[in-house]
Amino acid sequence: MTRDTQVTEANLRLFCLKTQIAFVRNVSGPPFPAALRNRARQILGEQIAGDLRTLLGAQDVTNDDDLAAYGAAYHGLTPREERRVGYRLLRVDRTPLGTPVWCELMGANHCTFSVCDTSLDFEARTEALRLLVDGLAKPLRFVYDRRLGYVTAQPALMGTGFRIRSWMHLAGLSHFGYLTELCNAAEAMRALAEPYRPEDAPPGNLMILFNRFSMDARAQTLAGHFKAFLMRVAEQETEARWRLLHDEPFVFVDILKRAKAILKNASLISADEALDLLSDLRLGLTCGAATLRKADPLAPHWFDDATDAAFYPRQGRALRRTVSLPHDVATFRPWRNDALRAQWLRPLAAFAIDRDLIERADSQ
Amino acid sequence: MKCELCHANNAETVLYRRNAEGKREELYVCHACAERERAFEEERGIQITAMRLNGGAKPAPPEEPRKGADEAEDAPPADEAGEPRMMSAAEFFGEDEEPRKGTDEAEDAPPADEAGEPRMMSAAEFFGEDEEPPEDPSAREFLGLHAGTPDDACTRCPGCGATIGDIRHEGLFRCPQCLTTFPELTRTLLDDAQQCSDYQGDPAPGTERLREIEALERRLAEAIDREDYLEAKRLRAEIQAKKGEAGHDA
Repeated sequence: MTRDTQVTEANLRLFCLKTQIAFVRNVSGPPFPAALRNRARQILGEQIAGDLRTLLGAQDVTNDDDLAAYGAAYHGLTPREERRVGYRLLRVDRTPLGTPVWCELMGANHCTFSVCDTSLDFEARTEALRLLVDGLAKPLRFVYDRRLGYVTAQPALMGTGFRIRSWMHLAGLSHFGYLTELCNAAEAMRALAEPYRPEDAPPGNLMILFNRFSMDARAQTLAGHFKAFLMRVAEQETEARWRLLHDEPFVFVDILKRAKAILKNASLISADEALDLLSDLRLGLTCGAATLRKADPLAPHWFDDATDAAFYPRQGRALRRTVSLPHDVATFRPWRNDALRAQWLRPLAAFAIDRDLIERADSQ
Repeated sequence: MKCELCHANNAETVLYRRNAEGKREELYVCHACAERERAFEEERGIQITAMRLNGGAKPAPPEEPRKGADEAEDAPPADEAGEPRMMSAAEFFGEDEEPRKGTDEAEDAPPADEAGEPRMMSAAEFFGEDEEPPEDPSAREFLGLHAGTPDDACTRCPGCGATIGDIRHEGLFRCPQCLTTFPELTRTLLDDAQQCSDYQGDPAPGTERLREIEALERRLAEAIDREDYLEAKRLRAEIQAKKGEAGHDA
């Protein structure tokens, strides 16, 4: 198992698809959203949204339907079905972080400021976002107590109000059935893992890892702890992939051949199946067991676009204009998306499996 | 239907009382709250006029008693104005069951004041003068020995009206004042969620100055203790300079 920090950090870039850094604040004055009626939540949300537009030059994108569909997958925003009365979404484009900062008013006076990208410089980005949010403390008057920190309705977010989440592709650990151990280890290391189902691997072998505590240290320190935890996870994932590649070449070749066959021949591919196929392909590419020239399946947007919510606005609508579908699937929505998804993924079937791996598998 | 006083247990009986303004109130409460209200009736100036036991189900609204029927006997006693009044022990238990002197029932009879009206028992009378009040929290609550303390089941947050039961059920606070109204619950929830109940993160903008002033004041106190008055004078000047600076206090 490699303990070389540079190697581990390089591998972490392959395993960590994207990271969301968020700060939660409540504006002082009214009670928290749970104690307010719908009308009060709506009015208060509009007032605070207006203040944010003035203070940050934010753009209100609450009514953007496409963003509501793919925002959860791309930017870690609240899914459309979980948005309550009074929800507002604002985007701040000109920030020191270089990427848009999202301001979500979850209802009334509960504000979440977040940024989501592929950068691994957690500490610097955390500090930059914290300074941006602290600049709003005086005009907006966040609820703050010197003993408890920033006060929110949820005890788990009280203190710094800091939440960092990473989407990790852990195909190696999933293959050997170590995801439950990962969840247990996360708790011991001040983090939590959001499993899909305890007995099954998550679609695409994607695990969401996030920090557990937000009160006992500065936000930058918490980000550092979280990155140290991710480095440990990256070490274990590297070891698992190494074992799969060198100890089980026959199994590895079988995984890749199955993926190739389905991508080449399937007419309907569901979202979960697409995530699994992308996971297998990404596993092969990152281990050097497969090569693909004309596409870059390592780009995180492949996983994001394959989900049900994001696929049609991001890829399916454009494909629909160019691909003719049989009449029985053209109008029936689940099948229409599955058929378009199969068309979208077909170019990825052109990957080539490494000859050395095939030879080792044959000789095993 | 939940008890209208504690909002935790099911309502099992109905309580009629006059509030401080003299208006008659009808409350559907559990047995524990009813007994507690009876125990403190004199202290709070509450007149308990009648209690109807209905086996745990929601009690029916009071009906006019029909003469000659059993309901007439069960109707709450009324005063001259026709308003329900407090029952005496004899009325509640029945004339035939008046405790006879010299028996255990005489000892168990409720204490009476000079006018012969039942009065509230003290804890010493209830348990006997040789015994201490119980340590069991539920028993102490029954006697009202802890009524009105923080984190009481009856306490409502002045900011949002939430009770401990509401916050525990949802797992969320409803307003910032809930944290100061229910300090024990706050500490418990924070210990469960974060294993920490003292904030050690970045100070809010403008509070850095307050932290520095607190640190200087601690050093000032230490300097005075060791009689280093020159250092104390210097620290006092520094504190006054810091307090005179403009800044945002959260």
